[in-house]
Formats: sequence, structure tokens, C-alpha cells
Amino acid sequence: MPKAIAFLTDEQRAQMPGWARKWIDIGLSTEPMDLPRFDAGARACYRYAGLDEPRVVVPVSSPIVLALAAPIASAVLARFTPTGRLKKQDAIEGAVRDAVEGAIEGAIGGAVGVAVRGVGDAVEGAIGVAVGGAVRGAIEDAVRVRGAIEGAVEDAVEGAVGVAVGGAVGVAVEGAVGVRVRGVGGAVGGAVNDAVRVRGAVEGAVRDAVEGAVRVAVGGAVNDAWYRYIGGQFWVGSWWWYASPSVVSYLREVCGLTLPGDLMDRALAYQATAESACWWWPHRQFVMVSDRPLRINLDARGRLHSESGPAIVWRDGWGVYAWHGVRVAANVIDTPAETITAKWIADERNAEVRRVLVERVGAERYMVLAGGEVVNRDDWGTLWEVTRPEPMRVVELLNSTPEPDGSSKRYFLRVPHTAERRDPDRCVACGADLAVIPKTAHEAVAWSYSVCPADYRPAVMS
Amino acid sequence: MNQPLRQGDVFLIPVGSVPAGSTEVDREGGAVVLAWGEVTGHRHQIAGPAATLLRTETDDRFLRIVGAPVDLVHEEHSTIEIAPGEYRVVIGREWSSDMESRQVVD
Repeated sequence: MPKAIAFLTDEQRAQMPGWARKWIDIGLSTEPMDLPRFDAGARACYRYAGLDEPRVVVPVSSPIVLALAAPIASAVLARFTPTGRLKKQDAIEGAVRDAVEGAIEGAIGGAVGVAVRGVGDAVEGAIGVAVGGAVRGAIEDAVRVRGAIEGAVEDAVEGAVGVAVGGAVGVAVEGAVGVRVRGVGGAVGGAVNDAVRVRGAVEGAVRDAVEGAVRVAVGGAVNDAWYRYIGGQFWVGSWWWYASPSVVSYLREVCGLTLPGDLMDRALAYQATAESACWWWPHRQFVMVSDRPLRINLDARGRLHSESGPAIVWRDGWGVYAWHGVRVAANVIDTPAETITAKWIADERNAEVRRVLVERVGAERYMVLAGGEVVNRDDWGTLWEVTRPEPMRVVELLNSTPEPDGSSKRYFLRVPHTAERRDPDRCVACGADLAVIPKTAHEAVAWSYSVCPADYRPAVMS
Repeated sequence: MNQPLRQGDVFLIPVGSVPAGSTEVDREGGAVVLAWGEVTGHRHQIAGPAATLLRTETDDRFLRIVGAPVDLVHEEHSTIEIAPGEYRVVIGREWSSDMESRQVVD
């Protein structure tokens, strides 16, 4: 069994697509979570991180429940001793800091331990750029200990678990396989990552829900800590932070890679969590873990997409609406196209979501609804003067990179209909006054990039 | 002199130098991220150590590429090669009804 891999054989390369497919299926699994397998894997991760096992593993129904419940549980636990007395803050902070530092130090050695105590910049030199991001995150976690809420946040051991299990494996794998096999990460991990695109949408939806609704009710507890989750099935392709299970398993099972000590066992423990459940949230005293989704709808290019109802939904009914990979509010999907108004489209601040609304209505019909008249058409696009819901100028642009079917996304962007400005408006390249009304599509596009038409001449566009 | 380049919302204008006092912007997941789509999760990004994103005191952004050309990648735009040199990074903006311009949000 090789300890180092200098190159891949043709036979090994030939297995890459199949390996990626297998892990994409794991990443997009809609089976109910395998709680016994997850439980064993998570407990093993804690042991390898040098932590006491969590007292309990709490299954919940969806990532949104986890993102709300886990930080609140953490905040509550931080305020009380095991006998129910309110803790003294200094003691909590000290204990938590010591524990987190200890876990990190034990897991990856003295070089990082020094950095944890404040010699931040030494880290990259000490253990290499490749893991700098992961280690920096752990260090940030370890030193950001202030106040009751943040103390509770610190209690979350995502950083420690991640560095011990994923980070350590990552370092060892990179060292053992050398630079030439980095391509595996791209070919397998990248392919899996691209395919399991739901992760961004789910995270964005959770973020919006938390930021929009919960801040007032529970203070900073949720807002500051919900994102300390581990992605489970959605992170099977990620190399950063945690050694990608798809890549590590390829190197182990296809290439016969071995690693020193118990590193491969650590990788297997982490792999078990990714293979058995969705998001999980590790805390010193508990682990909360979300079930996998009930249904995932993708378009032909593997993007989240559903023309009725959510594109990804969990068994508790929570889900994310999406149109060809663009995350949108439910009403953007559920409202019949014929009842979408020009005002709704004009009021939509996000250019991608606005494009989705226009796509549903139809660009031609949108301009009829908006009372649009062409001011100018040139090689750059079409400049429209519209009257509804209010007078304004809009430039219609086609994406420079066509879609696989040969069509191009059409964007409608607002540009000035007046020469008045609240603040100075000057070309960032030459200083020319931009406080004018664009008269051509070229002038309008140039304005949108904060330059005069003479300075808007990209040699390459995509 | 290098050429201006555009990928989606991101416009790169070659410049002679980066303003003094600029500071490096943190990388994300090891990559330099020029712009990030709020509802798509897509990123205009550059991997590898050759690229550095800098921020001036007034929050203008500049990109420095040293050594060999680098690839600017995005999930749904073609890859663009950026030659070594320094560039101002401009993100597309839109007019808003309160007479102030704002960045294109996507």
C-alpha cells in the first residue's frame, strides 16, 4: 500500500468520473438520515479531536431548525452549571478558551498552538499556505471569546473538530500525495462540488431567515453562531476546511493511499458523518444534526430549479425556492406570470431575481407592461425609456457567455434618467463628469461600470 | 499596457499603480473573490498565490497579479485570463430612485 502517490495511472484516472458520480449521489441523497451511523461517526470525530464525547446527539428535521435551535441551546447551556446555577462569566471564558486551545494544539501540534496564543502571522509560514485558511478559522474561533453570548458561541467546537479531523487529514494527504495529484481534488472534488450546488442556496436561505426574523427575539445568540455548522452531505466535495470525503476516499480506495498513525481512521469517521446526514452543529456537550432533504429538483445543468413549490424541501416542510439556480422568494415562483406587475419588477433590487421575474413574464411583455420605448440600440444593448411604474431609463443587456442551449440571459438594469446627482459622479479612469443622461446603450453600460464611454472598451468579455 | 477586461458584473481597468496605504483583503477558501452573488452563491474568483486583492482607505478595490497570467473563473461565465499587472476592480452599479447609485445586487 503506497504511502505517497507521485502520479496516477490511466486506470486510476478512468475511475474518476464514476467516483465523482457516486459522491454526487451521496451529496444529493434524499434518504432519511442514518442516525446510528452518524452518531458513531460524530462521536469518533470528538474522540480524535481529543474532546469528551457529546452527551447527546439530537436529530432535528431541517437545517433551519438546526440553525435556530443549536445556538439557542448553546447559549442556554453557557449560562448554567451542570447543577443549574448561573456561571461566573470569567470562569466560562477561561475554561472554554483553554479547552479550545487544547483541542487545537493537541490535534495539530506546537506550531499552531503558538499562533493560538497570538502570534497570528506565524501560522502560514509554520504549516503552509495550503491549510492557512483552516487554521486561521480555528484560531479566530479560539480567540474570539467575549461576553456571555460569544462565550456560548465559543463552546461550539466546530473549529476544533474540523482541524483535528479534517484539517489534519488534509495536511497529511497533501504532504503524502504531493503537488502532482492535486488534480484529483479538481477532478473529483470539484465535480462533486459543482454538482452539489444546493449547499449555497440552502445556506443563503437560512441566513436570510435568521437575519430577517430572529435577531430581535433571541439577541445575538443565533445570529452569531448559526453558521458554525458542518455541511454533512453538502460538503462531500469541499477541500477547504475539511478534507473532502470524495477525494480522500478516492485516494484511499482507488489509489491505495495510506496515512501515518490514525489519520485515515479520522478521515473515515468524518466520512461517515457526511455519508449519513445533512448539516450538523457540534458543541462541547451536544451534537445537533439535521435530516436529509425529502426532495431535490434540479434543472438539466444540475442547478436547483422548480417551477412550482420549493426546489429543495425537507420533511418538516421547510425548503428553498429557486429558478435555474437563483434563490428566490416563494412568491416569485408561485405567482402566476400574468399577475406579475411592472412595479414588482422595478422594485426588485436584486438584478438576478429581477431577471427571473422578467423571464417568467417574458421580456417583450415586460416592456409592454412598463410602457417601454426604444431610445437607442447599438452593439452593446438596447436603451429603453419606460413610464411605468415611474419614468426611468433601463438598459437591456445580453450575457456575453451564452447558455448551453445557445440562448443568452437578458438583464434590465436601471440607469440615470436625469443629470442631477446627490454626490459627484465621475469616471473612475479619467475623472470625466458622468452626471449626464445616457443617450446610447454604450453610454448606459459605461455608466453602470462607473466610467465614461471612452474608457469602456473591454478587450475580453464573458 | 494591459487591456480592460470584463466578466459579468466585474470590470477590470489596468492602472499604473495601486494607491499607497492599500491593505490586503482576506482570501475566502484560499481564493481571491472579486464579487459574490447573494442569491446564486456564485463567485468571480482567482485561485493560487499570484493574485492579491487590495482595498484603499475609501474602499476602492485593486487587483495585483504577479508572475504568470491567472484565470478569473465563475460558475456561469467563461474563464478570463488576466495578465500580470495592476487593475482597478469596478463592480457594476444601478441607478436608484433616490438619486443615488448603488451596486448591482445579485
